[in-house]
Amino acid sequence: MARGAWLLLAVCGAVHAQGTPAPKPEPVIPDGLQIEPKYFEPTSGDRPGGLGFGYSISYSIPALSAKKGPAKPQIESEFSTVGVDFQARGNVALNQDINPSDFLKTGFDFSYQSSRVFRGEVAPDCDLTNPDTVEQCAAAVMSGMRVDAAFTASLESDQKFDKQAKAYGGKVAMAYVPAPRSAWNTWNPLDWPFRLTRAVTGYDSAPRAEPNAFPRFLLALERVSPDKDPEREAVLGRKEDYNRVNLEMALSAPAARFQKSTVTFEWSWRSFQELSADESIKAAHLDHFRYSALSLRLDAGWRLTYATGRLPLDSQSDKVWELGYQVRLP
Amino acid sequence: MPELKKDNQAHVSAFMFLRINGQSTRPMVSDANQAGMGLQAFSDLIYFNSAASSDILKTNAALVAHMYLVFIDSYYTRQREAGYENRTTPELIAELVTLMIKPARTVHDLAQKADQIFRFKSEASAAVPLAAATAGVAVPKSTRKKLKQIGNG
Repeated sequence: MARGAWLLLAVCGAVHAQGTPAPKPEPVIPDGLQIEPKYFEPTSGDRPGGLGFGYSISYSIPALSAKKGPAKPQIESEFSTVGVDFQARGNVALNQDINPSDFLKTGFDFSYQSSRVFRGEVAPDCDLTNPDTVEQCAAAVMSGMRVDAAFTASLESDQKFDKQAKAYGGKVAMAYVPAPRSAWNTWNPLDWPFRLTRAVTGYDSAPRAEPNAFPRFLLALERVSPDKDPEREAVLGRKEDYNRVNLEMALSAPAARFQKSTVTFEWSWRSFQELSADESIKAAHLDHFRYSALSLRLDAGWRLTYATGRLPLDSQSDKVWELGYQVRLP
Repeated sequence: MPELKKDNQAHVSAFMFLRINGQSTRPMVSDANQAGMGLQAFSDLIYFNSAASSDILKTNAALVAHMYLVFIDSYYTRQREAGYENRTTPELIAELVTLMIKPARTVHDLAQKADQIFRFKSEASAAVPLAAATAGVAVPKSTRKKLKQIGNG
């Protein structure tokens, strides 16, 4: 009931935020829920493996800026704007005890978006309208940076809704693709091992820096208001709001070539730290949560993931292997 | 799932952009050794980090979408299709991102979306928006007379 009221409030807030003047763009409506079946295999304890799935859904109302643009706007290489996003994503295991990331988050963002991209150089023998010249067009590689800063309100829960919390605050996400010859690209230490594996396996003819391997960052500061959290209540003896910092670093890079397919390495490290936590919460290890997931995926739908640690609302740390294969639903 | 077509400039733009920017190494169309890029799911492109949170995935996809729009705008002779001519860059990016964060959608879907947004030079029906664009233009008297003569002829 409380969850329903919260969502209704968030919907009303988003609608109110749009205002009435100036024609607004049509909402971009997702044409299907994405579901990925998974098999979870715990590596700690004697627990058996089990089936589950990951899901995601997203809904965006872009460009709520009050000022009216030109009648026939051009494509801009640099812009700033505001918008509203709804998103929900999570991981569900039929046996909750083996879910490595038992943390569902559904919410609204009122965001400020800033993006800037740069063109590369087109070599004389490169014709971008002729696919046969693609090998001569390597210098046309682009670079850019995007920053999304948002006020956010969300509902967090575990998959059984045994634990629930409202969270609201601010967050900043940043993606940067450096220019190929830039120092950021050349000296990106996270890409060094993959330069070697790419060259050895024939993905590249020689060790080469990969601009896409530059890490992405997320920083969030949220006020968390627990609705149901028996563990915290047992420790504190009451329900109490608290502040939490969330930092995430993520990387996705081509790692190798295997039988003419690309092997991609994916990594995400997340940290959730309660600020000024009560000593009893610290003693119960409920003030910080660390989670890390590493994946190797083959350019054919298969993905092998190793996830370790725990996310907020997860009572125990897991070490789990996941083997996933993506299917497309109509 | 369909392949990309070499005679479709929207498809060519998607292939050239993703290959040049290191998102995929596949050929444009399937050959004896490798499947074509049109069949490739977004989850198999480099930007799609499924281990990351949805915030990072969306920001990353939005940056790639912005690059793709600027790529088309810079290197291809095109105009906007009806229904898209008044969309701003952030609106077009949001539409592409909604597609690009779906793991099972393919590069062919992206190329088709570009084809929906832009009318490329070589498209057979390019005269339709040209006529629409000139519909409100006042024709000089002398030209009207000549057109009438042609019509009578």
